Amino acid sequence: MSSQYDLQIIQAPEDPTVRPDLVMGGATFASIDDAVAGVAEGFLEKPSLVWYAMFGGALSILAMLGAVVAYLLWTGVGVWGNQSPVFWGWPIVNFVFWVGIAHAGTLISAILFLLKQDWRTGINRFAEAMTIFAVACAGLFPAIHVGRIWLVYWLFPIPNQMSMWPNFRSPLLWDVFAVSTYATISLLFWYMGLIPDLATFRDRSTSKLRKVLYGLFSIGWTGSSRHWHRYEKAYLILAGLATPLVLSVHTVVSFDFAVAQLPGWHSTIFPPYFVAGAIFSGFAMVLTLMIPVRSIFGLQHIVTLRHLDVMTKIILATGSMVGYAYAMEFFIAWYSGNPYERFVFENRAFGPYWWAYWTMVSCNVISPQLFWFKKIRQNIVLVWVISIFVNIGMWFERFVITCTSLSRDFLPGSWGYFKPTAFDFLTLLGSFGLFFTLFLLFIRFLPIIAISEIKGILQKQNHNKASQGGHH
Amino acid sequence: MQSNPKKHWRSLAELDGSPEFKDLVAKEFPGLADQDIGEMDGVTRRRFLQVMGASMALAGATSCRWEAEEILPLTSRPENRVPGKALHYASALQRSGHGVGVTLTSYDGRPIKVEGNPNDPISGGSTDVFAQAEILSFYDPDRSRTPLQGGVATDFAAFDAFWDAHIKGLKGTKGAGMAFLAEPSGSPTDSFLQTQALKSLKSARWFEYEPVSRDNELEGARLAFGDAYRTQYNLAAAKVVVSFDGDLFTSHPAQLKHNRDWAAARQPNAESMGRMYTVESRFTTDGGMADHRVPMRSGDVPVFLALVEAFLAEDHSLALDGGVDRADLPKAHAATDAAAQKVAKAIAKDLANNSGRSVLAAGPNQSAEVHARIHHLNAKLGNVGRTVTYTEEPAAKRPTHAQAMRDLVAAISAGEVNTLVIIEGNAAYDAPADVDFKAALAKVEHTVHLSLYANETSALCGWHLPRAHAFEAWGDAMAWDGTHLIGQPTIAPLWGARSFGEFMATMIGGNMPAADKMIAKVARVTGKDWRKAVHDGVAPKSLLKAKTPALKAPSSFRPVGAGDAMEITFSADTKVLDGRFANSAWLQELPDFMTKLTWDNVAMIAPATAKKLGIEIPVGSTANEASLLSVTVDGKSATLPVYIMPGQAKDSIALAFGYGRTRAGVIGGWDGEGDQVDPVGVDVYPLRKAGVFVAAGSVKPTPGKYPLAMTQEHHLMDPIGMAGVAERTGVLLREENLEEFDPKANDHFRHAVHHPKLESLWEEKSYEGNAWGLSIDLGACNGCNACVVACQAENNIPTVGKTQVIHGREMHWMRIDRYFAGDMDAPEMGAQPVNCQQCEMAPCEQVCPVAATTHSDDGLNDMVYNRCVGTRYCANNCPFKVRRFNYLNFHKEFKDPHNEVAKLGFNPEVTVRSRGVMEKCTYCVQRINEKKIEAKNAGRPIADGSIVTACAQACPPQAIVFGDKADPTSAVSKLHNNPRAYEMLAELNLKPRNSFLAKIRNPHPDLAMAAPTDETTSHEGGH
Repeated sequence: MSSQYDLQIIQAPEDPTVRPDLVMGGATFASIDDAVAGVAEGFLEKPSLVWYAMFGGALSILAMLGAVVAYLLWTGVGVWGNQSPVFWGWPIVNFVFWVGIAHAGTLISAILFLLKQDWRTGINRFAEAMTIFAVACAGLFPAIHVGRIWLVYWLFPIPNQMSMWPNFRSPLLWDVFAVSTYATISLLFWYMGLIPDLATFRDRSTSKLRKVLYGLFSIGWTGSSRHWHRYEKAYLILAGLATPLVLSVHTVVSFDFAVAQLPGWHSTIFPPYFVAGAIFSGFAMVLTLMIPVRSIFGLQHIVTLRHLDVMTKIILATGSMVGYAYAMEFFIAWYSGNPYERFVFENRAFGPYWWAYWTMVSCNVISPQLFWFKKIRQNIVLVWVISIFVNIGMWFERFVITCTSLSRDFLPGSWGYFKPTAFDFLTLLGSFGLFFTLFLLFIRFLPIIAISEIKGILQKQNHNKASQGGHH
Repeated sequence: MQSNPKKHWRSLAELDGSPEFKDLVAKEFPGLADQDIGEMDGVTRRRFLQVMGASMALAGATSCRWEAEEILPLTSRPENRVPGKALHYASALQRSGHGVGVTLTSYDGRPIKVEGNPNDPISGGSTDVFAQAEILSFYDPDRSRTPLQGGVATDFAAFDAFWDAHIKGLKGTKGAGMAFLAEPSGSPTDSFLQTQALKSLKSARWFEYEPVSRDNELEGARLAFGDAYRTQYNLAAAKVVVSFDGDLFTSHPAQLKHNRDWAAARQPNAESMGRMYTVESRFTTDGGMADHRVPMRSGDVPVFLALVEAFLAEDHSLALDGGVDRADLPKAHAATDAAAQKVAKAIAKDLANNSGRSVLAAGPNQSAEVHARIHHLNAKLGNVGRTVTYTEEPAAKRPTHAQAMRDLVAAISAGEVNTLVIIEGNAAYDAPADVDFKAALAKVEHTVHLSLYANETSALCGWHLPRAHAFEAWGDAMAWDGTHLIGQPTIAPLWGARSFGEFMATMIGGNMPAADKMIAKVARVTGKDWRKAVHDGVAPKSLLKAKTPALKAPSSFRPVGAGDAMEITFSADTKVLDGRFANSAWLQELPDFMTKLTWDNVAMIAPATAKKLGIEIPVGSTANEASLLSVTVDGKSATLPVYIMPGQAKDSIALAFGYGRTRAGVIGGWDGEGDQVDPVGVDVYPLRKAGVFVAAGSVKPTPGKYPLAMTQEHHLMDPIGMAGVAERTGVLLREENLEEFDPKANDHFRHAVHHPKLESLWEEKSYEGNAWGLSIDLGACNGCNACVVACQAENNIPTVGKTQVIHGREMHWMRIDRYFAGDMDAPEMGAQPVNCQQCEMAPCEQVCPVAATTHSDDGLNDMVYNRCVGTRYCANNCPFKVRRFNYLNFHKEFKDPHNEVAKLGFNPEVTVRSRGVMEKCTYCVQRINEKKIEAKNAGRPIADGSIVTACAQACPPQAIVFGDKADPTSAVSKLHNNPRAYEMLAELNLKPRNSFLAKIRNPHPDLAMAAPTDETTSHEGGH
């Protein structure tokens, strides 16, 4: 599986002072253009059967989601397994799961940008796209999980004849603002970054239609220094705006739980724990998607093993934070002396849902620990497998928090056991259909790597090399 | 259609009103034959209002039907009738020949709610689940709508033509070859009509049959006194009650009174508090209320009784002739083991110390000998005349039901019967296994069945006639104590039906007086007194005279106990009784008070028996998957799901009748024409021989699993769960033994959970004016479920069906949490009704994003259905989980025109909730507002006690009290200041408006165990 570039890195002599190049293979500006634009242009010349097969699959799953949602609208949320006491089931689990995934993109583009982490350039476009699509998937769930979907707009503070405001004390309302703001900023940020690359696509377009469309969306980019000047200012401002959002969105999402008084939800550890978990899952999802894409489209010299290595380290760090949070929850449950709190955690680990809890722990706490080993970090197949484990584990984390806490709350008389229905599975699967449909369209029509930014670091890399050479 | 000037027609023939067309309609729509042709199904709204208006106007004045009377719409509004304002009418229901006085709430002519009639000394204003559910049965679309001839719809005219000719012939032969099979009736007028009819049909024979009867009691009295007398208990004067396999608080016809009286005698604040012992095989309410409950096979109970007797003789010189020495009792026996000896000794001590203040009672499952013995014991202990009195027994002369059924079948087999008239009942379904009633029925040439439903028996009869419901006809009934209850019709028959009286009148012939006049005659009241009797629902003269029967010398009493075989006990189900309520969705979906099981019957077995049989307790994701057990009695088998019941006697399997109906309707099961519906549960009548309640049988686990729909998780679950339940049960349902209870220690129970000072995040709302609150006495609550059904009836709460109950989507606003404590083989049980606690700091309100649940000025936690979008966040944040969500459209069945009639049973004051909306207990806000408006119009404050919530009104032991907490003199305020008062989960700073009164147990000092709530557990609760 390892490409020649990967092997170069693997076989390089152990020297902590030397970092592998972020762009390899003696790339030039032109070769980067060719490599990235080639992905999209390749489809133009020779439509790939693999792409069509995948797109067809994703689209059918999306269509299935449409059918499920239509049935849901027709019948009611009772098609899912939600019940009393587990009033929130898989829809909310899926919502938090997708919102979590949506974290990596903006973190990479905004925070790492501000921290001047050059390695972000290889993956930021990709991660941002993933963010947008994940937010789309996430946004779907709160909308369709309410009982009267046709009135869901009442959650927005729209002036109305009833003079009714929404209830500003409700974390769900905060959620509406947090997620919609995040979606807006992420989209703007992504689009901002795309403009110079869209112009590159426009300039390379051979068909009239493409030229017009790319031209339209690159809004007259000429690459003049004035454009660049404005662009970089705006990018910086947006990065500044997006940075707090990375932390706030999942904090607010965690308030849905933390503000409620349910044992297992009512916990001050939730905001940092959720943000760490979100970054954790976001990076895992980037890896899950990036690893196949870079090898299919031969982008190993741009998204190098070094990029993957850095991401695995972030996963290791955030995974450990999540593990710490799990442990701390248990400690506090015991230390607080609150019998309800203590019971919830005992019940999580050893009650009827023990399997969900231990799936979560194995995937989220144990599996990333393997990234301590360089051998494993450099084994792309293993990295990919572990990244999938993390995705699974993070879904289970939300399931454990949402469903096990609800299933056994204060009064044993109202305890219950949640069982999902076929529609729960289909809706979850369907959201992946939506995600991959959007993702495959992205691969086909848009630059999956930020060309202009790569060029920026290539220049820096070449400059550094040149100056090092000068010293000799 | 008189009032409608524009007449619509469907064809010219119809417009013409040609006789051919009318015939055609009669064939197509039999129920409409005598109605206006212009109406499709059942009753249209207009027709309905007309009829209602008329019946209402005529109701108090004269009779309804067998004197021909025109029903016309009102031309002017009678006095006191305001459209949209409820009127209340007294009525009488009866079950198994025992009357229940009720009051019907009627809106615009349609009854929508049943309450107890406070003038009925048994009811005292309260009701049981069956009376509460009667409204649903009344509007049941599956009730018979038309006469059937050989299963084919026809009309009354056709029947009358047949019957007039037939009865003429029968009268010629003085009724030779004619027989009646009736379910027992408690109506004196019915008996009068029966006597009248049999005068001209001297050779006709009358049989009475009821599958679950109190015949053992009757026979027991015959053994003890030489004649049957009815026992009346006065539990209010009792200090010690011993129930042997009893039903005092469960199925006894006077259970409402027993519950009320005993709750009064159990007040721990009184100088001394009553104590109760129960010895029984299956866990009943009697067992739940007992201070000491000994689980024991029904067959062993007589041995235990003999043991108590032996101790009375040995320790207290209260020997009864024919008794047996302790040494001679069976050894190494469950009823005489060390634990049983200890309890029996304590019982004997209590009985001896409370001479004249104790009650011994045996249930209908116990033999006549046991009943006779108990009569002797009550006399010996000086209880007779004080806590135990006797009256005449109206059924004194009849043979047992088992015997009657045998005689009838023998008569048919001997070819002595060619005409059989069956009044109500369902013998084809519930006849004993050793009497082949069905085969006999087939041999009878002419069979007529008059019943509310076209049931299994109707299907086998030549004629079926729809019977008028008690709400549709004049009627009367006798309460257990002899009170003569009068019921007036509140509505004309929905589909044309005949009452028993009407039917008998057609047979007697001649000019029968109208029904009301007949009842007045039987009650011997006239004029103003009669009007008052109709108004009150109670006639002044009691029908049963008090008696002081002389005891015969006791015969020898040497019980040997049950044998080695597995014991199988039968009883009427707690929800569908003998099967008659099988088509009531409210009752089918009502969680059984012990098992919390809906929509099924089970084989209840003890945990020890389960172990012996190798049946595992299902936990986790398969918690509702029950193992199957094949139960065999005398070669007949039935396979039932197993329910492992803590406190069930070892080696005793409890089965309930009433399930497996095949002609009940779309709810209970239907295999007739139209859509087939699987029967609910398993029919166990085929296992049961005539008159048998306790049988020896065998059981064998059968492979396979069966899903059960329970509203509360099985008590026996995973170890973590059980530990969690055990830890918090005493904190949620607080209790103490009388010895430890200090009536002067105020707020003692409130302090059972220590918590830091509770502070609010924001300025708390202050309340001026009324502050509604509810108090529930856990010491009085027996978990009977009356409040649950009352709430369902009052608040238009839908039923959801078995599958949805398995999904956890039942909609009851009021639920009763049942907890066990102690040893699983002999646990203590506690019941805690939980409705919305109306928290002042309601956690649900804070999290609703659209402000659909908010606080009213009088402190109610309101639910605004129109505003609710259904995020369900409120329910997640409700620590009591009392909120119910409409996951689906649970009112879908009303779209079917056949079911439209059921909509008439809705309470017009309460919104019917749509799909996707949250709902919950409102403290019956419609009742609050009604009284509020009344008081405001009258310019006076709302009197304490004038507002009664549906749950409080129904509650037999009057454990629920509603009122204004802001008024320090109100009953509820006093109860909130009761030393036993506490609020559940108060440590969460919820400020609930509901308070509970802790349960005080009164164990015998010699047997006292520490109550589950001792200091150590209570201290752990939520800091």
